[in-house]
Parts: sequence; C-alpha cells; structure tokens
Amino acid sequence: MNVVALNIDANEHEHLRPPAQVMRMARLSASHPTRLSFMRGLVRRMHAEQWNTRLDRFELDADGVGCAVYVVESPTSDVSLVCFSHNTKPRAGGATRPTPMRQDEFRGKWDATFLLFDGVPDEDDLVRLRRNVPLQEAGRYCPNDIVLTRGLFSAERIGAVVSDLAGGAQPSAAAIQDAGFFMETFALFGNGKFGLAEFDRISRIPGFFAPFQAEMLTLYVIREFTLDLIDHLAKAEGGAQAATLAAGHRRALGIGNVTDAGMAPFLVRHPVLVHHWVVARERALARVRAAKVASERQANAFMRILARAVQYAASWGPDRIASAQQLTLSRELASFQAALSADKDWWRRDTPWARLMDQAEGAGSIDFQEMINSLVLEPQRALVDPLFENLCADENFRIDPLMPLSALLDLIDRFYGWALSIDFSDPQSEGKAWRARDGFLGFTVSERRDAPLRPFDAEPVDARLGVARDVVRLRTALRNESRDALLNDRVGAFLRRRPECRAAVKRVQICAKYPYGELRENVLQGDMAPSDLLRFTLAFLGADHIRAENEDVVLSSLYQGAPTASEIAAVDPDAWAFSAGVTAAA
Amino acid sequence: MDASLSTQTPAINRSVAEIRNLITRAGRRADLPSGEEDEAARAVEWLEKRGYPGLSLAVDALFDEGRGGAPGRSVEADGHALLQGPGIFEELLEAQDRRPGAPSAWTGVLFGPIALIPFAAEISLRRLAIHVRWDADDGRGQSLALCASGSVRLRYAQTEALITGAPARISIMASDAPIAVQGFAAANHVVDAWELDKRADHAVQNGVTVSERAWSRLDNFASGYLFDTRERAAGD
Repeated sequence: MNVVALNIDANEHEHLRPPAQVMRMARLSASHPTRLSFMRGLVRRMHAEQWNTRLDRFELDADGVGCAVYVVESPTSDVSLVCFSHNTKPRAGGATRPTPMRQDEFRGKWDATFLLFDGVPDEDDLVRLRRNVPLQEAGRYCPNDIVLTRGLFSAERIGAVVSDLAGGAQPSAAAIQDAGFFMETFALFGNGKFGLAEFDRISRIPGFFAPFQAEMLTLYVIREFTLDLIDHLAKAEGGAQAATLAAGHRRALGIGNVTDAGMAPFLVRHPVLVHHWVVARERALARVRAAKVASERQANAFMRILARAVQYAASWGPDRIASAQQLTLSRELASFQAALSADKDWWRRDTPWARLMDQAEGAGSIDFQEMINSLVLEPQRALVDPLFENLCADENFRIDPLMPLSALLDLIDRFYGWALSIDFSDPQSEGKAWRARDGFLGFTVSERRDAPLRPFDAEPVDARLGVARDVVRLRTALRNESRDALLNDRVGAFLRRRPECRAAVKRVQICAKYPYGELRENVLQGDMAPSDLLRFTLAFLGADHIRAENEDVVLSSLYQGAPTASEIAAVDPDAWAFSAGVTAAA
Repeated sequence: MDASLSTQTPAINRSVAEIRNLITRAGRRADLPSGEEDEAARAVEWLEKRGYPGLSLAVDALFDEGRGGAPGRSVEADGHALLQGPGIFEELLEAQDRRPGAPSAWTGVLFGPIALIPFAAEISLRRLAIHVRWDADDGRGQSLALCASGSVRLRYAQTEALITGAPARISIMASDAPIAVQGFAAANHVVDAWELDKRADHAVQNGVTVSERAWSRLDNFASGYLFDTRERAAGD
C-alpha cells in the first residue's frame, strides 16, 4: 500500500491503521455508528437543505388500516413514501415475526408495506401500487418506484401507549424507552429488483448520490408514519379527549429492523465499495489522531457523548451471542468515564485524542476500542463530515491482462498471507454452506454442505464468497506454471489456459488497489457467524443497539432520538448520536 | 431500438439490474468458469442498454440455438466461447504491449460477433483502437465496429445475419494509432458514442424492452433447480 494509491496526504497516511488491523472480523463486527454513518449523513443533509415532509393523504380507518402518502420536498426534488397499513391488531398465537430467512413465505401477511416513489404519485400510480406493493417480491414495479419494504407492528406495545393517549395522558418516559419502537422493518429492496429504479437512476436524484440514502430516507419516513398512526389510533379510541404523542416521545421512538443472513455477504461481494467506506472512516480517525490540540468546547462535547454512550451501553438489549462482550463494554465505558472525569485537564495535553485512542487500545476490549473511536469523531465536524462525500464508488473493475504472472504471485503473497495460512484440508475450513435464494435476492447459510435443500434454496453457490480458498487455489495454479511462464507470461495468457481462475485473479487485482475492501477472514469457516458480518454493515448504515437474535438474525434500532420531520430544520442534526435507550424528557 | 435490430418477438420491460442478474444466474447454471458469468452479464447488459439483442445472443450462446438447440457452448472462436470475449482482447492487448505501435490482429470463426462490441468498447477506453470486421461464409463482409481511443463508433449492416448465429470470420485489429474512418462504406448506418450514451441513459431511466421469448428461456434455465416462488399466490 502506498500513499498515492489511497490518494491521501502523507500526514494522514502516517496515522492510518493498516488493513491487516482493521479488516478482521473481530474488529469489524465491533463497529458502532459514527458521524459518517448513512443515517447521520442523511439527517444532516435534510437539516442543511431544510427538507420538508408533508402528509399528502392519510386514509386510515379506525383500526389503522388503509393508505397514507408522505411527500418529502427537498430544494430540487420531491419523493413520496406510499404506506399501506394492513393490520395493527395483535395476531392470534402471539409471535408475529416470520421464521428467520423465510420472509418469502410471509408474503401477504405483513402488517404494513411501503414504497418510496420518485415524485408524487397520482391516482393511477396509487391504483397500480395498491395492487403490487402488498405482494412485495411477487409484485411488479417500474423505474419511478425506488425502494420497497415491509414491516410488522409491535401490536401489544402499541396497545398500551394508545390507551394512555386515548385517555388524554402521555405514556411514561420509561414506557417509551422500554418500547424503543413500534414497528420492525424487514428486507429493503431497491437497485433494479423487480423492476424498481436502478441505482444509477436513484443516484441522480439530488441528495441520493451516496449509498443507501434512499433506503435510509424510506426508514426515516416509516418512523414518521408509525408515530402518526399511534396518534390516529388514540384519537379513534378516545375521540376529542385523546392526547397526541409529546414531541420528546416522538423523538425518542425509532423503528426496529430485522436483518438476516441474506445481507451478510454484502461485505464480501462489494470490496470496492467497502474499501471506500472503511477508508473514509479510517481517514477520519487518522485526522483526529493527528490533531495536536483540542478545544474546551470539543472536550465538553466529548464528555457529553461519552456520558450518553454509558447509558446507551447499559440499556442495550440482550445479544444472544455477544452478551459477555456487551457487559464488558458497559463496564469499560463507565470506568473510562470515571477516570476521565477525574482528570479535568486531559484535553489540554498534546494530541489529546490520540492519547484517548491509545488508552483504549492499551487497556480495553475491541468493542470498547471501537466505541471510543466512534465517540472521538463526534466533536470533529470539520475534520470528519467532508469525508461523507467519499463513500460512493464505481464498482466496475476490469482485469489487467498485461500484469506479469510474477507480479500477480507477489500480490497474493503480499495481501493474502492470512488466507495462505488456512488449512483447507480441514473440513471445517469449508464447514459453512452459503446458498443463493431464488433470484439471488440474498443468501441462506447452513452448517453442513450436504444439508438438505429447503424451499427457496439453490445449490451451494459459495464459490464467490470463498475468497480465501479461491486465492489459495489460484496461487497453487500459478506455482504449477512453468518457470518460463511465470517469468514471461501475462495474466491474459494465463486466463486463457485457466479460465476458472478469472474471479480469483480479479479479486487479487482489486485487493491490491483497494486494500481496505478485503475482509481478512474465511467466511466458509464452520464457526463463522453471519451475524458478525451483519454488525459491520448495519453500523455503517447507522443502526443502534445491534444485537444478535441468533447466528443468522440481527435486530437493531434506527433513528431513536433523531429529530422528527417537524423539527429537523430547527435542531442540531447531530445531537442524537447514541440516543437509543437513553431516557428523554417528554 | 433500431428497427433493423428488432427481435420481432413480444417484448417486456426489465431493469438493467434484472438483466445482469439473469445472465449471472444463467451463466452459473451453465457452469461457466467462475468470473466469466460476470463478464457475460456485463456484455449482455451493455448490448441491451444500447438497443442490441444481448439476451438473444446469450440464448444462442447457451443453447446453441439454430444448430439443433442442444445445450452447449459451441458459439466460439478458436476455443473462446462467445461469452469469453474478454480473452480475445486480452490477447490483443498483450500483443500491443510487446510490440508497441504495431497493429496486431486476431482472426477466428465466431457466431454472433456483435457480442464482442462491448468488449471492444471497453478496450477502446484503454486508449487503443479496435477494428472489428466480419466476413460471412458466402463472401459478404462488413466492418462492424470501430472503437477508437475513448470513443465508440459502431456501424452495422445486414445485422440480421449477425444475430441469427450465422458463422462469420472475424478480424479484430488493435492499434494505438488512429484507424481511418473513411475505410467504411458510406451507406452503412453509423451510431456514434453520443447516440449510444443516449440509449444507455434511456435504459437506466426507463428500463429496457427485451425479448420475452429470450427472457423466458434464460429465466427458466437459470431457475430450473429452484423452487419457483412466482407460482405461489400471495399469502401461501
């Protein structure tokens, strides 16, 4: 890796953590949201450009069933969220969440379905959408349709809050904090699936050039719809005496998200994009680390966010896999806060942020280190926020056929030492079978390669996820070439003899150019947990309280504490970091 | 899409991503070497976005259409499957690298040579000029594409012969020197880079009208081993 390849200045480069340290599962899965997370970037833009969200129609019956349309107006374009509410009552039998990875079978049973639309839909559009959106994957969409998703209401929790409001009272702050959200959302579809708009089209909508901005806006407006729905149900029950949710309660409520293994391979399948995300975050950390001084204002801001993070960690819901790490993090944060509070002058010393980061690295768990890394970015708007513009990437990459074979071999030895140390004669090294779901909509994962296929499963297609194994095989193939070929042949000639190595060659060339794009782990390993892959991606989206339900399913909270649509123009768009689980006054 | 290239079959609208996804799935189902399915998907996407029948060519490639319909990969040239187009250009690039400045050429028998155009276009972005010429068995000959240093000028004539899988001898010449445009017959229809970009942009904005027949064949092939969720009614 060199400075030129990353296009950054030498001072920043000096403080950059190397890919070998950053791109390990243990560290990536310990990621937390930062100022660079996609939700944070979106909320900042909505604030800066004074986006206006207005209700275009709200045609729900007394049970909350019907259609609502929200129009989000930015200075240059309008998009609309079309909401279809199908059921708000508790389901017979209690549990409503679909079996993990079987969302396909849940079709037609979602409590609510949503579509983000480019522009404002007319009656003909709504007729078309009413026919298709409730069908989700089975529907057919057009290029004006941007994002498709669905959700389930937490009907039991809604009932108690609605009863309070219907009687004219506000629910308690504790009840709001315990609930956290009243809807869980599931898969988000976009980027051309089922005829939806292409990313190339979406990215031309001003404000949507960065990855996942349309998806994050969809979730933001769904939150708005859920809050309005609660007020609607309370009014339907209590009539004129009903109260509406207080502003503080609305802000404290977010929405939930359920993510399954289908999204896990994203981290492996998009190395160029992931490189850009990670480099942006690492550059932000390097800039902060290099800062010679801190202002008192920054120090105070850091202490405030640290105090909030202590509460955030203490209120984290149960993680079925990493509960011990959660407890350790909570304890370490509290201890760190106490020590820093006792040292009033910590910020007056040279390079104070680097000292904090070193202190965390020297004494804390990886979760703690990464939490401190997220927190030190918070008071650094000027250093960090411009990097949000660097998160997009052109993922087209062409093999360089003129690269000498010897150079290719050198790249493997230089960048894939971690892979070469894996013993692929051990069956556990390929103990995890990834299978594509119908239409490559995602993946399921099972423990054994010979496990029986389930509905919606294809044959194992893990070839493109087994990067480590394929690169090792490529190296073996290169080693089997004659000395003359190794010295004189080029990649193009080699690939004509060994076309099965094309994907691996491309991967190695990509990694050489984008070294932060390669997860340095074997995702086929038998003990690999897909939930660890999910944690990194969700943190980059901006999800809070990420917790594993099991190895394949991860729950998280979104937008808790974020400014609501009615206040976004007026309030600090960054003041809500780590608000999940933090009690707010109504 | 230009009438001369119309597939003359019922058409449906699909997004570019759906086309890419379909060819990737079909390529894997056809057991293409790992990585070639991506190249195939890129080629078909390139063609369909610009109004050329990429899906029909993929059907030809995967099912040996027009020569008995048996599954196979006999659409090839000197051992290169049609969907392995990049290999041909890699060869050219290497030759260029070894003898800078000197034109180099590759010649082989190829079915459906129009599928090479995307690769030629990409190679042209590497500041090499590519000249594709095909000669049919009956002696007809045609310059097919000229991709010169960062721009693409595509010309075609008698394209029905090209897309029905008729064998043709293809010459591809690469050079780092400009190729004289006046070598082409004036009567041929010429599509320049601006027109191609306009078509691609339209496809991104509105989706692509594709042959329903070609789509169905490929989709059935790619989905053959899957539980077909599309046959399930909502709520099942």
